[in-house]
Amino acid sequence: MSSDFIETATHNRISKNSHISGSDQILISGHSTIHPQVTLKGDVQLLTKSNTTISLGKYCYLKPHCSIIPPIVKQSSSSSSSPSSVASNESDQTWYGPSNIGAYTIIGSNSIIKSANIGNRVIIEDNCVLNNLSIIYDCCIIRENTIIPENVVIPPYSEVKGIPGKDFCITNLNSSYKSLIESEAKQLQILGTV
Amino acid sequence: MTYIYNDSNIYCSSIVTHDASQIDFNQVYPLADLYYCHVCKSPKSKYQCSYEIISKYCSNCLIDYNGDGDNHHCLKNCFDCPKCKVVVGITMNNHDENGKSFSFNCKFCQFSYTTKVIEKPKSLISIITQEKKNDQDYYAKVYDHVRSSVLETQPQKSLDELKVKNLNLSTTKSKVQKSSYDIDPISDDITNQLSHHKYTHGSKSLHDTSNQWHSNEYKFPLPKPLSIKYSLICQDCHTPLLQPKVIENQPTLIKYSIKSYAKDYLPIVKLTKSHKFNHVYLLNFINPMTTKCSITISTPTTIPLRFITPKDNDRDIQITLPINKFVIGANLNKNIVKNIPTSLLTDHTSASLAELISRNKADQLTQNIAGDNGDEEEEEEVQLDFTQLVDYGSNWYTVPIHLLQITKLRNNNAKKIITVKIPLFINLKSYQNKEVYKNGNDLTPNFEIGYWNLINVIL
Repeated sequence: MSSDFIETATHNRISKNSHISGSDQILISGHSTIHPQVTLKGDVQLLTKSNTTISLGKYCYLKPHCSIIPPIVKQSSSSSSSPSSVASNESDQTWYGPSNIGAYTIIGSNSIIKSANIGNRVIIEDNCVLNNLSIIYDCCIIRENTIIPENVVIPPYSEVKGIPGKDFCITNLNSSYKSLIESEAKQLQILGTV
Repeated sequence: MTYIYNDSNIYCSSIVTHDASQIDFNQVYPLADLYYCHVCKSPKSKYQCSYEIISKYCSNCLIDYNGDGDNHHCLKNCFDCPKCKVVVGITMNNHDENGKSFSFNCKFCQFSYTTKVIEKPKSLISIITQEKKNDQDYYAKVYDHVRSSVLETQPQKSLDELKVKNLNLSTTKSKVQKSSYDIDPISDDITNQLSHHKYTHGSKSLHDTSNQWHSNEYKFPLPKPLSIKYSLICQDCHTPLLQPKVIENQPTLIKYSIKSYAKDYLPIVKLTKSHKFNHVYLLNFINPMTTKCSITISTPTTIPLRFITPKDNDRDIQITLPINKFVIGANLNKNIVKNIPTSLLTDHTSASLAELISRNKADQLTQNIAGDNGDEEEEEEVQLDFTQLVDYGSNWYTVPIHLLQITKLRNNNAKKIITVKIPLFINLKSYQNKEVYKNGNDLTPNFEIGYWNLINVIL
């Protein structure tokens, strides 16, 4: 199984079957694992002058079939809500913002990440959707099948579960999870997926 | 999904019991959710602690509300959707010279609300509060009226009580009682309206009004509730177990001056299935402390029926523990691989496989996982070879546990998944605890505690 991965000098393990576009605009710190069928959409037009569209901290663990797409900051089209903000000759243009993912973050299978910022020591379980420009602070656990709406800020040490309008719930997470999530991310790097 | 969700829970209650059958399943918690009290020498759940709010802040706009004593909501422009409980977007609409109005739109559901045209500058929260007051539904008006009338009668009632005391007349007392519950003309109207409403429309009308109540409840955006930082104090000995540091202008930065987590003292127990033998599981004890500790485990020979799901009245599960006393080394090795028990190592990565080979356990991977239809002769062989499953490393120890009569139970419930909670009483003795010395809470060099640990096994 390890032959399917490319191991870099900074101990990153990147699957040959992952879909990474715009790799020159993606920054991976080290000791990170990117599994097969993971999508990193780095070839987007940023609104700012920054060169990095997606940045991953150290010991990030991306499970199969998850996607990281930078958040849409500005969109201009015929159906846009704020047409006045964009010049008329630049129709159907989309500008993205950078997506920053902190260290010791685990992203589960089939999850879609469009967040602007994810802090350090965050676990995102399987089948989650983090919508455009959402912000997740440090030490959070996003439970399975959770949907986080646009622009929502999740405070540090939170456990989030459910679907908004149905059973969405943010509860406090014990601060002891800080070191547990960190050791979890390190162990996953060594042991691979359970 | 991940390794932190192990199936080990600790019984943590003020009622100490040595009888496994008396364990209350409502009072078992994961190790990560517990604290450790040095004085009581026991793990503490959050329900055994008292709280003290240290600081308050809005998680959306990150404004510090430390000075506001009774305020529970953000006073700025942070509002939640009443249906989704997520932050709503706010847009301002200009009405030429007449003023401005504000629109609240939820980006997830269909909720939207637009305020009336505001001529003078006001905070959004006061605009919403005022509009809520003006747009009260029928029952809210009744509630407000009853509340205000009760508040008005309170001083009169106390005055009348004084009269009763002074005059000591029973007749006056009856008058007072009557006056305290007197209904003014407006209340009469409301009561009549209510009764009329009830008798004319019956149960259907009640249903309708509840819908009306809900529609009004979901009409206005909700002010964002504040997030808090709090300290925890042991209810029994008043020892602080958790004390956050308050750093100005950095509400999201959470640092602690005192933190006493149970996970730093009690061993982490992880269960894995033996690859060699039927019905044999491996209990992996991982020592988190920087000092070595001695562990004695004990368990009832037969698992009580209430620990088995689904309940089978005819069969019992018997537990055999070949080794019940062992010593685990200190957690001093910084190499993470060395701190992982062998039974948890995999061949998914080169680092893990290399460690497995270096421990001479690579043959473990090639062993066929035994089936569930082993005969009795195999069972006897298993009992003889138990000790070869014992393994230990720098800060971990693996002991086997054998569950008897599983075959018969599975025959009875062939298609059902059987979940068993194995009650283990763990007696932990630390040889030297430097951290306790540092805190100065306890001067005894060793500490010894006993607690129940429930291990979930799916058969």
